[in-house]
Amino acid sequence: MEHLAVLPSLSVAAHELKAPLALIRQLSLMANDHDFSEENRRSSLEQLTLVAERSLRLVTDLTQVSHSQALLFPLEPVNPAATCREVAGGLTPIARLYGHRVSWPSSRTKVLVVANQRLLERIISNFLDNALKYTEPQTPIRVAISRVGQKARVSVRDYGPRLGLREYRQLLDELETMKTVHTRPDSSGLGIFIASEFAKMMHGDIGLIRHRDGVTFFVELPLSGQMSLL
Amino acid sequence: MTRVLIVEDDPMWAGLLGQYCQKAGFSVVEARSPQQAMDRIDEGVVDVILLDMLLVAETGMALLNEMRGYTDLARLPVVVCTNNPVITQEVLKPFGVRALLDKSTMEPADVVVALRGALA
Repeated sequence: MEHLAVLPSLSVAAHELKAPLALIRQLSLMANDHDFSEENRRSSLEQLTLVAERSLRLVTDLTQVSHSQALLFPLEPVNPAATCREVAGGLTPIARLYGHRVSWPSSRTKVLVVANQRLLERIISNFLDNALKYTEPQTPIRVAISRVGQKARVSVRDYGPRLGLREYRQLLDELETMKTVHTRPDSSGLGIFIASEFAKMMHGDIGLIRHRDGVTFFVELPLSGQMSLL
Repeated sequence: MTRVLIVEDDPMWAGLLGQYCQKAGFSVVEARSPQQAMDRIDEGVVDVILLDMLLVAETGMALLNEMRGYTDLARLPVVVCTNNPVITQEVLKPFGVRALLDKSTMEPADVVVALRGALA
């Protein structure tokens, strides 16, 4: 069954793409400037690759949201702990750059969900991008998996700025009405919107919990009946 | 040595801007938020501010408004460096902003020229 996504506006997508492109441009200017040290130029090239890859993932996500058809994203039993390990592999350089420690669920976590592995990876990555970008360095970020009734929840907890009550209610309202979700001034909310769309494609949901010292974003997905085989 | 306070929440941008400033002979202090910036200013280690407008939890306007409330801080020169095309220099002038740089088009030398111009 085709799922028609409510797409974010062009200005939202343009804003989200402009920021990393401006950074890519500056990094390339630095890398090409021989007045800077070899070490600085090498570091710029590494960061250039990281930023370019993130931008490509965003464009890919937008493309997939705009062409969201069930057949393109087959659902199957997926181990969310293994998915987290996949995400961890790609995220470590960025986390190091932002000065964060990310803790991951144990590989012994015995939960299977009905999902598409790639879409689940993107949801977790979007939540983590949000946490990395908007929290202070050296504060922990925790990824956890838990069971909630007949669903499994993968959550990303950050210890960033406390969300005001008004902003929290606005976020809940925006998640409900599927508008783009503005979590912080520099955020158009596109990453959370994409996460929400991907969750819907897998018959799941995303949500958030406001803490005194940060926010938890989570995705809930149906448990797989194959749990009994574990 | 002239001391630049870079108020920028993105570590890659903070690193780049810091290198531009240090290469030009400035010493650099960093802050990620308006509150951290005020702490650095209160320590008396700032001669000029290079300010990003879109920060974690607040915008740079929070810092500009705070500074405007104090006679001595209202005179501290500020250069705004932003991806936000909506802000114009006319809007920022009353807040002591001496120059506005667009992150998407600026060159490293533009940052240095803007800082030196703000201090002149």
